Amino acid sequence: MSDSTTPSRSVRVPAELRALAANGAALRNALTELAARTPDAIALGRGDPDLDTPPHITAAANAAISAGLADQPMPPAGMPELRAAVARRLRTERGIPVDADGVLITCGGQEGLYLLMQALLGPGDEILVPDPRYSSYDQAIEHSGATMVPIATEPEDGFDLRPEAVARAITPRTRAILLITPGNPTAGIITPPNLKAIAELAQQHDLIVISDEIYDQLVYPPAEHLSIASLPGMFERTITLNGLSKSYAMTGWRVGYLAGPPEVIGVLTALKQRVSGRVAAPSQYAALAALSGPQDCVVEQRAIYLARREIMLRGLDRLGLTYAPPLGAFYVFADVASVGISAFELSYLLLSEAKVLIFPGTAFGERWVDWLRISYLQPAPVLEDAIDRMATVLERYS
Amino acid sequence: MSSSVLHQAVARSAQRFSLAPPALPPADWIDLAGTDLYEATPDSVRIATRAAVDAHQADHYTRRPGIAPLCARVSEHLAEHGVQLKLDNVIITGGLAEARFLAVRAYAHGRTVLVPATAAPADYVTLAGLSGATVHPWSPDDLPDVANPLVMLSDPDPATGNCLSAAQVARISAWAVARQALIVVDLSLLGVLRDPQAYTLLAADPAVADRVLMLGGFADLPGLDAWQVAWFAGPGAILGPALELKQAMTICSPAVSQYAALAGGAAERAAARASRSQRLAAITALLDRLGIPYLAPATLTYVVADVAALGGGAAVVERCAAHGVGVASGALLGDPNRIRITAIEHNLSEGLRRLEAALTTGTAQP
Repeated sequence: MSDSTTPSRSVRVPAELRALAANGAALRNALTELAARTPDAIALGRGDPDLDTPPHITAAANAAISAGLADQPMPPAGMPELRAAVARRLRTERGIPVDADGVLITCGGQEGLYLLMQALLGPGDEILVPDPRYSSYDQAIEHSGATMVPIATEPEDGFDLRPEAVARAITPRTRAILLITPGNPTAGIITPPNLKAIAELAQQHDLIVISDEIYDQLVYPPAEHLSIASLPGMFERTITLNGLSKSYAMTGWRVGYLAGPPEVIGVLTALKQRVSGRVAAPSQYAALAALSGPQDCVVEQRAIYLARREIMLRGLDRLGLTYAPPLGAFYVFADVASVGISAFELSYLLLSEAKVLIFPGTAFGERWVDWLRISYLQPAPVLEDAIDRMATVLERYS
Repeated sequence: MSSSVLHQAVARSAQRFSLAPPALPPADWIDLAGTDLYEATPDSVRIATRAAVDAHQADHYTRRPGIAPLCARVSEHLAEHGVQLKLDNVIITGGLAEARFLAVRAYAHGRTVLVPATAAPADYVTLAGLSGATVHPWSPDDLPDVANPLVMLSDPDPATGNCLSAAQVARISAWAVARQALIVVDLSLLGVLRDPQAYTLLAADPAVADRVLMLGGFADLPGLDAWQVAWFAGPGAILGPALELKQAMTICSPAVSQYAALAGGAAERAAARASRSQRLAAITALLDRLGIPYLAPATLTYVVADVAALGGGAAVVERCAAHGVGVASGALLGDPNRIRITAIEHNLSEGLRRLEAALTTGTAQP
């Protein structure tokens, strides 16, 4: 296994980038900015769908803007119709017994996560987080004063979260467990039997569950999505986090939501008022159209991602790289140990020499020095081009 | 409230952070107490924003600090007040509340936070509490002997609409350098000054510029409150913590709102000034007619009236509430004998009718 920060062979990574090697979010940002300054770069980094926001959604936003509705201040918890639409979706599609008063509209899923950490955790608390993790969790947890306790997941399990690993990590200070399924960066899912066992653990140890389901509509057969809040006895201890960004190609609109018991949502609303105020009105009208309008776009986009996934997996096979088969989202977490260069350095080489932006695994956890997270959010021909470009670098350095 | 572990956790937070669920106003309420002017977005802004949406410019994450042309516009605006910052030193936020939270949460650690003795709308005391910081009240005329503080300075003061004098700014500047203070200037009302030429911005003083951060909105454009767009800016050497926190909180601000803020031009700003001046005049005319004294307004948004002769601010606020109109209480202004009246656009005439009734007929219902 390589070391992410020690230079290997003759790879010269700029010192300012190397200084960020252990800071996941900052490293991702720095690489993204470097790619933005690199002409003809292919971005397989951020989880930002390249597809357009569907036209019926943008049309609804524009209609609200034309009618002056976007000028009207929204209630602190969000537009009532939007909260109702979220609740309806969670009840009918996910089996979560929530009503509109149990929904808070947030400025993207990430704000929801930040609010939750501040509201639910405090100094001395521990929160269990699967490893690897979406590293933007880190600062939110740090600000709460709590300690993040990683729970290892393994490629041979498809990065599923094993209940016995969760059980081993629980201490008297454990306050909460954070679940994300499908996962980022792994694209693995927590299988229903494991999720049910984890729910039992949460009840036995009286833990809060934060369930990040931002990719719940991007699950590929034969995998299935299960919301833990729909399991018996779990709604009262679970906050479900989701948003519109990934499933409707709406990252720029910044709309997410939290769902849980109404009294809890009331306090979270008060916290949101202090921290960031209300969610932009035009974005809420767009989100309402997304949730209450035709859902063909979700099916179509999922089919596009599925086709791209196959292109990427075939490409990785051609490059001789291994991976745990991705079951959701739009990422592949690939093992590049065979290349003989740390993933951190390889990601720099891929960007500087092949003009392909890919994040190293160390941006998602210290252990993942030989892994890359590849997002396949580009049209098929561009993905093919990216794979060809990657091949040139791998041939040169392997 | 149920006793689940989730309920217990938020109950602790509610106590720790003094959080109470926001109260909703009664039906048919007219709000002359807040900072929202309830204005309509100009047609030209709506058209330009719709064009940006149609061009799919709103679909994706923007550049992390904000779209470059809007950052540049903020930079140019600050330059008009003598502050030189590159566009890379500007972060577009999802509204003023987020900008204020960034200011406190990103910089309070390990410092005493000095908050205005007159509470600002954002309630910096609560924000400092969220950050676990020690809070100390201050006023421009009572500069405390505290080393290395984080100073929240509102100028113009969103609580009163008043501006610091050039002499006060100079005194604060010298004090900040001597105390190694980091200062955040809340400029949310900069765009609605009645007389921008008479205004002195602290960050324009080279002696203190490297320790001054700023936040503000796009108040010079009407109707953007509900769009949730504002900014935070400062020298590159000290801006990093805010940029990191912004990224951790919300990644970037809504693209559609950023394009709306970019859309307004000089004509929209001039029209807004004229409209606001008229509304302000309507308020002062009422107060003149009723013989109620008031401070000369420094901004186009508020009039602060002296209601000592009517029983004081608290009594007048109560009487107004009984008439279905809200005015800000003197407690917010550092003077219990005053009230603040906001020059809203929507329903101002009816609001002033109710205000007159409250001020002249006691507690009678509308």
